Amino acid sequence: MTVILVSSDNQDFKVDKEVAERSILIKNMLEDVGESDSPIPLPNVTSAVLTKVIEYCEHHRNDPVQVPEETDDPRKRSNDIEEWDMKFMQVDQEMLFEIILAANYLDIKPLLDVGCKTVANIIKGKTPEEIRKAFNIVNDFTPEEEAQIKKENEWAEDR
Amino acid sequence: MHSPPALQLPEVLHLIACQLDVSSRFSCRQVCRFWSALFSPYVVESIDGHQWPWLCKWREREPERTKNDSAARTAFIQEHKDHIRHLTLNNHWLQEIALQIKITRLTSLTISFDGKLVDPPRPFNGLLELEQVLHLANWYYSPGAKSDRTRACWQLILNNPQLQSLRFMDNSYNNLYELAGKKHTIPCPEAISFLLDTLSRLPRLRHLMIANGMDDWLLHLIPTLLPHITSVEYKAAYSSGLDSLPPGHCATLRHLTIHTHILSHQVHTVLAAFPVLQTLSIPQFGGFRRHVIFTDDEIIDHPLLELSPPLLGPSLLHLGVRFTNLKTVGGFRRLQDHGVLLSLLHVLPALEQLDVLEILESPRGENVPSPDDRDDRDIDNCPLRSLVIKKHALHPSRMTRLFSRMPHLVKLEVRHIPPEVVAEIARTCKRMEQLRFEVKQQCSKEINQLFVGCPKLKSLRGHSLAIKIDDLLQGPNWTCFDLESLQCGVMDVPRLSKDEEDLLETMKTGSRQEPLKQEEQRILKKQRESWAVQGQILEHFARFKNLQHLDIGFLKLPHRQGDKRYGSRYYRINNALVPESLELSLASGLAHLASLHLLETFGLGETDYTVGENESRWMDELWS
Repeated sequence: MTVILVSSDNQDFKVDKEVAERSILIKNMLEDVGESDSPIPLPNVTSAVLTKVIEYCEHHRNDPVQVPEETDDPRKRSNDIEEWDMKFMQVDQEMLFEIILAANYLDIKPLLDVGCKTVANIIKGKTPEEIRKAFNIVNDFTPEEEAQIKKENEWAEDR
Repeated sequence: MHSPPALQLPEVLHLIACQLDVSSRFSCRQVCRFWSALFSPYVVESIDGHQWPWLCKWREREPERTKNDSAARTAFIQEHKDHIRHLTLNNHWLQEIALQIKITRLTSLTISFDGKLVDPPRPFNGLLELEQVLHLANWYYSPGAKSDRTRACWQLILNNPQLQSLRFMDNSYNNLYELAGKKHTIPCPEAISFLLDTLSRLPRLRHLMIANGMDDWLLHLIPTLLPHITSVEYKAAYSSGLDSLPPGHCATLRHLTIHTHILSHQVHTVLAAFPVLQTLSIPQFGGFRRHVIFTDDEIIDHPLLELSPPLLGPSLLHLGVRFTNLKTVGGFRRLQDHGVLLSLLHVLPALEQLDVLEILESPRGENVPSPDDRDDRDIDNCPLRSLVIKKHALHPSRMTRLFSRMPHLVKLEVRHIPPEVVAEIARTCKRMEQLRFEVKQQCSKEINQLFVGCPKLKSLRGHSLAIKIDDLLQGPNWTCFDLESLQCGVMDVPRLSKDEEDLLETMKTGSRQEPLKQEEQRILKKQRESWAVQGQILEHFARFKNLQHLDIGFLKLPHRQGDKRYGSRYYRINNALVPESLELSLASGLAHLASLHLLETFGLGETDYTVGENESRWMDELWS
């Protein structure tokens, strides 16, 4: 069984139901609507991004559903990204953030995680100024605030 | 240009924060106001005096500034204290802060400090109730009260009912224990009552470690007090309390470490008491002191995955436990006889690796199979993957039987085995990769079977291994294309005799014009035939592209008695020249090996080297 997804620029995407249901948003929609052939509009996702997202869902169509595990070790963070996902995420920054937005909107947790891990890898080892530059973030601290934060952060610089 | 909308979503930033290290989190909170608010809590998620070295370094470097700023730091931690999940109190300064502010959301706490307490606890009369402790703690916090870290520590524990992990390092527990009225090593009712009360307030506790000072009775009460406990590590003065642990005592404990001298029958009791235990560590295992025989009814099956340190043979056999999941147990020096080996495989039905220095002869002297042999116990399809037997006195028929039950062997190292055992290995061990043995008799056919029957074979090495050229070239095709290392002589190669070679030498050096005599033509023909056969052999080995070490020469072969003696020229290498073996000449097909790109060593042992200038140059070009 297939479903039709419509991107913001009015392109139709025909995908297997199983693939589309990787998105919890779509899964819930389909459950609410029941058997229906009507296309599903996704006004927040452009066709370029939707193509990528569908590519991801196709590849991971058979993955088991993620179970949030209870871990009490703070260091037990998985920084490792699967090889395929790593390649998949080799896109320009604009696309990377578009994918994250889409994953967030469509509620595809594993894709969101991979996206955030990729961003985290960009951030690692950078100074605050470098981070601002990398993501076009405006420094809106008052001089006093910045001095205060810097002072607190000096603890960390002593490593 | 604006910052990406994705980075304005708190949920996305939270996910990113989870993936960052502490220092990157610090950088992020310096980026802008929005990020500062979002990332600050993550800075304090896990506080450890060692992970936060600046907490103490600072103090050393700038004592003056520290004085001024300690209030600011305390304020910072105070502000974010609800985000602290993991706390390790392992330096003085951190203790001060942690004990001053009320932290309530911890999931793991490690207390690691020694030394005298500032304020010795007052003696208590009668039972100490929790309310009383809280009252005392309140009293302590009242203005003018003296500092008492002991009370504050217990208060810290009681403030965090969500604790999943609680660890007392070094002597910290002994010191804290004083609060509960414990003055000597023997627990008094007050102390017990206090502890029980405290622990019963931590229903989610899964890991408990008491590095020093725990008493046996606590182990007895654990399942009642801590319904989710999975891991306990402790050190106690005596182990006698273990004796009275009932079978099936606690069905949640998976990891247990006991730093106490314990005996082998107590291991049985412990394993019976904790039926789902996966790892048991008993660094001070006392071994087999008391002779305890378990009847068949008492022998238990236990799914232990790891036992450390590895127990020695006799102890292991006398524990009265069948370890259904134990895969490794470390090495054994000596096994009394074949029967002990079988018993070991019986109590360790999942064993994957076994190293034995020696299997002795059975006490009755004869090591031949007898009808009442315990051979037929359940070791069929034995999961052993690696077996090393340095020395043994096993009867050939027993060995054959033994290996016929070991189809999973990947690595085998064993001293001298007879041909029928080699044949059995080729028949049974289809997964064999690494094989090392020696033979006392010639078993060319059987060795050839190994290359046919063990398709995964990567390495075959050992003294006195040799294969006849007929078996090699006319036997079934080898299947082991992963072969990386081979040490096995090739023999019965048709070669010229000494006299024939001498004749050829004179032909080469002489400047005769006359036509070749019939004899000389015969010798030249024989040489061509020899080279053709040698070429076939080298061509054969050139098909195994992964070969790194190829040693097809001989050492002294014990089973090749009565070698013909040749002229002294042949003895210059070693007094054990082997005739009828390969030459090392381009004419004999050496160039076939050029296709073995991984080859590192090529040995012809004590064969007849005929390395000329051409060969030297060829090898230099290829291998240097």
